[in-house]
Amino acid sequence: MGTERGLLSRACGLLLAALLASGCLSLRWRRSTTDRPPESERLAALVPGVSDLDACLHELGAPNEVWELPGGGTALAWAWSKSRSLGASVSIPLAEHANASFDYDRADATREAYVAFFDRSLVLRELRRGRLADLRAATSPSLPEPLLEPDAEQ
Amino acid sequence: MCAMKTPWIPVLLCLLVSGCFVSRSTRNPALAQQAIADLPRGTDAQQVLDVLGAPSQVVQLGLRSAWLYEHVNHKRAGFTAIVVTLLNEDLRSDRVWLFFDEQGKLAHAGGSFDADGAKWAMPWQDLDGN
Repeated sequence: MGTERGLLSRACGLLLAALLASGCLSLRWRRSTTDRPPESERLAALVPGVSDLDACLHELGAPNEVWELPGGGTALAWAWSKSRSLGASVSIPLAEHANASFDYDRADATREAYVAFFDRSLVLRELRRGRLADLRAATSPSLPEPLLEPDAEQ
Repeated sequence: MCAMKTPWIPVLLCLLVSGCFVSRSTRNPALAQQAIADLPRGTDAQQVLDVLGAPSQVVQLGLRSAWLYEHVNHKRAGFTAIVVTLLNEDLRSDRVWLFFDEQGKLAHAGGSFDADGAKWAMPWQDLDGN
């Protein structure tokens, strides 16, 4: 009886402490998932130099992004992302007009993709996996050089 | 002892459940799968517009073009118990890309229909049932 009462009072104490701390302490666990990666069996069915656009669309479905490649080719990307983050923040009022806070977050978010590169005849040339932003930046046509400013003295 | 414990249970339950939520948001209406499947190769871009309406995105590929029709389903589930917050977000989409040739005729089409697969879950739960 005495032990039970002790346990109960400790639990109540813990709950009270947590309630009192809720204004200045918070712990977060967050997961975010966007789309899913293509199945490996379906990727294996694609052969560079042989498979065409129709075969890729048939095996992998509709891509997330499409863009033009320099030289008239086309790139299709099947992308997905999975991120988990754990975070904690503590905020303590130190004086009447001062507030100390600490925030910690650890996240590993990336948007990965399989990118299929097609030539002008829409035949698959290469299938690459990587970060979508990197693959897209490396293969998008570069912007035209800005026009030279006319010489002000002329 | 039982009488002493009992009043705490509803209080605890109220505290735990008060920070619980599920939400769902969508972007664009669901795609008409049958209408898309019925589009024959060689359909004119104008006819596609008449059937499906304006696409979400148009990409110019030289003289060719590709149109995206997309429907997004985004589900969130969250739980806050005093100092701990758990949040899960799952976003999946239906997408159809239509590729038009230099004459503006439908040449290729591909579709993925996964929007209904978005789930409400907690961060530790398996979303794909593996």
